[in-house]
Amino acid sequence: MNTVGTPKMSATENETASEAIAPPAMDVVVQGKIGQKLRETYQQVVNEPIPPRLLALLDELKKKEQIPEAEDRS
Amino acid sequence: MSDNPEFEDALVAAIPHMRAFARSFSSDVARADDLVQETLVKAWYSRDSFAPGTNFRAWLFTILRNVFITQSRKLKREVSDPDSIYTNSLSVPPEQEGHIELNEFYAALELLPVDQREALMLIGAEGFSYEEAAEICGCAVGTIKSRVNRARNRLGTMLDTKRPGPDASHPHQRALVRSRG
Repeated sequence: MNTVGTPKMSATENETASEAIAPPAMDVVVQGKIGQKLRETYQQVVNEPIPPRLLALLDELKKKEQIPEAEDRS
Repeated sequence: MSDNPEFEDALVAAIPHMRAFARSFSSDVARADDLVQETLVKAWYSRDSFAPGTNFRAWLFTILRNVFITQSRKLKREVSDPDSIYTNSLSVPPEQEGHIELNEFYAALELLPVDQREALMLIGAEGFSYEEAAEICGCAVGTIKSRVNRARNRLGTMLDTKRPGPDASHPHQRALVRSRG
């Protein structure tokens, strides 16, 4: 699991004043929780079975193109 | 990937991810799947425009996003209240024991502006690079970064300040209750 948003190398390195007075980073724990929940929410959908209507659509598209061909896949 | 079976296989393999990304635009499952459905048709007929060696999923997500934008423009012309695209789609699956926490997170996600939610999904959930996400959304890398940051901060505030107690005090809970009716 790669961390998103690489942290700044070091605050002393060419940092602008605005960077210095930027609000403190969100609590690491909260941020970690958000990331985890986000992936969980997303993965939940990814793991759902593909609705038949979407697969049927692909079959239809395929048939339209291979009109005279006998279907050897269902 | 112009070979049909190969393209089809890749397309089928990408469907679960397209469905997940489509939920950024509508939490209504049927409506989100409609987006996927139209995306599949578009992708099928424009498969020759996919450049081999580039990210297939990113290509599909770009199409999906365009489908959404086209649809919501159409809706905006037809419906006087463009926000209804989102408010009407606020349906959350029935709460089950143990899933409440995730539902709450889901509800918080729904409160984000769509551009922030989309950026967050691409970066934080789907794992695209900032550059890839910027390309999908047709905007600058810096824009994606700031959307993701704002999304994270807002979620952090929403989830952090949320205390156990009467849920009705939570604005989004009210929205949910309303949408059930």
